[in-house]
Amino acid sequence: MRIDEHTLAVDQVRQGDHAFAHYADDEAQWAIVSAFTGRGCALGHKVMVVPDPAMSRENASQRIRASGGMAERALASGQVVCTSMREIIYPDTRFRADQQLLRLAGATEQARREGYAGLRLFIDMRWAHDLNLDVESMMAWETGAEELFASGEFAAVCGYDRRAFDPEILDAMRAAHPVAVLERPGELRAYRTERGCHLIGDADAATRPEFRTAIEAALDEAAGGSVLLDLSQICFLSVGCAADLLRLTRRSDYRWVVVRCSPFQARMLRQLDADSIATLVLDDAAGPA
Amino acid sequence: MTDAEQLLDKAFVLADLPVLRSLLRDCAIVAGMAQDQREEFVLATHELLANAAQHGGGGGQVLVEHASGELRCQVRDRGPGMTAGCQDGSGLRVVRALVDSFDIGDAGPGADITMTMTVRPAAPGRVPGAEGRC
Repeated sequence: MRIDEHTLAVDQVRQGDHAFAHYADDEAQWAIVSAFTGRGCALGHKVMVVPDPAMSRENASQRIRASGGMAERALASGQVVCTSMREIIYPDTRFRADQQLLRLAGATEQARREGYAGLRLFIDMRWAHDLNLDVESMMAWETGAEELFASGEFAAVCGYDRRAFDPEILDAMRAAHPVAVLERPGELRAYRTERGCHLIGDADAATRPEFRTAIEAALDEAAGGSVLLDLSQICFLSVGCAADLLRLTRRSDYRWVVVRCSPFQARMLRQLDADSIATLVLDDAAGPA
Repeated sequence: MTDAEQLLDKAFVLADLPVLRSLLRDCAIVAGMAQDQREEFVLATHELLANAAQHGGGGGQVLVEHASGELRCQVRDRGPGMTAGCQDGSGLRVVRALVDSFDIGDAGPGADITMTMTVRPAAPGRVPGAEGRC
């Protein structure tokens, strides 16, 4: 699936985001659900989880509970609720986009009245098959729901199982969402840019070979007197990968190597002696931390 | 640490680190850390976990507690203990620079490392999770 500037790690999803997630195995799906749910709990949000209609609420709760952290307490207190689309639209039996907008806006208001900071929704889109919703109606819903997100009090991750949807539909649905999340936590993806490369996700021991390969390729192939290594969408940068970046930069022949990163990452790179590389420029205006 | 709130108690192996980093961010948010310090906490703990998973018998146990304005993290592994080589690595050097206290226990087989960070809260008016991504 395409990687671009709209792609993020699930840990980077925040309130106001309408995100597309895709996966082809249950482990990847529940890793995404757990991360999204856990963050919602930590931030004091109410979280609704709508699993595959073929899965019982008890099984879904069990999967969330198994993730550890605060999930157990949040399920017990009602902060996290597993439900179904049939239950959400009840007493209606057919999905209507206009009604759904009102329902979710109402649920967000209700969450605020209950003292939560907002509402988060994870929804396995196989509900559309269960309710016989056609692709056009699904697309109309995905592209027409943006007003729900404008207040910044609501966030949703729409989960598409690649075993249940055709590739063309997945591509179209991905394009219809302002944000797409990487398939699983810990993944690192890179795409080439005119001036270098752009990295998204986590750079740690598991993804270190991909990290090095992406940096090496950018340093080898970028044209001109400077290269831009864009780490601004990196969710996590380990000390080992940061040290690799400096080693590779030190060896390169560029007049300038610009590393776009967060202030926190820039501080770590400086701690690893980045300032001793005369050709290295740390552009740390990119991130908040 | 008195009346500590236990935020995380989990066994881990190397493959669990991405999920654990997410759980650690959650702990830091609950403790009230500002975003830049959350990333410091996640990095420092990750380096200990990675060290345990790679050199400490394949994994271990991580415990995170919050009390009295302090976040405390203990990582225990099943390896041969901290060798001098391990303690000189760049990862642990960065950890020591980020945390307020760092202790290596020597009780029994395996390493037992405890670090603490005093919570620096977000500036008044800043809503956790609304500042920036990660």
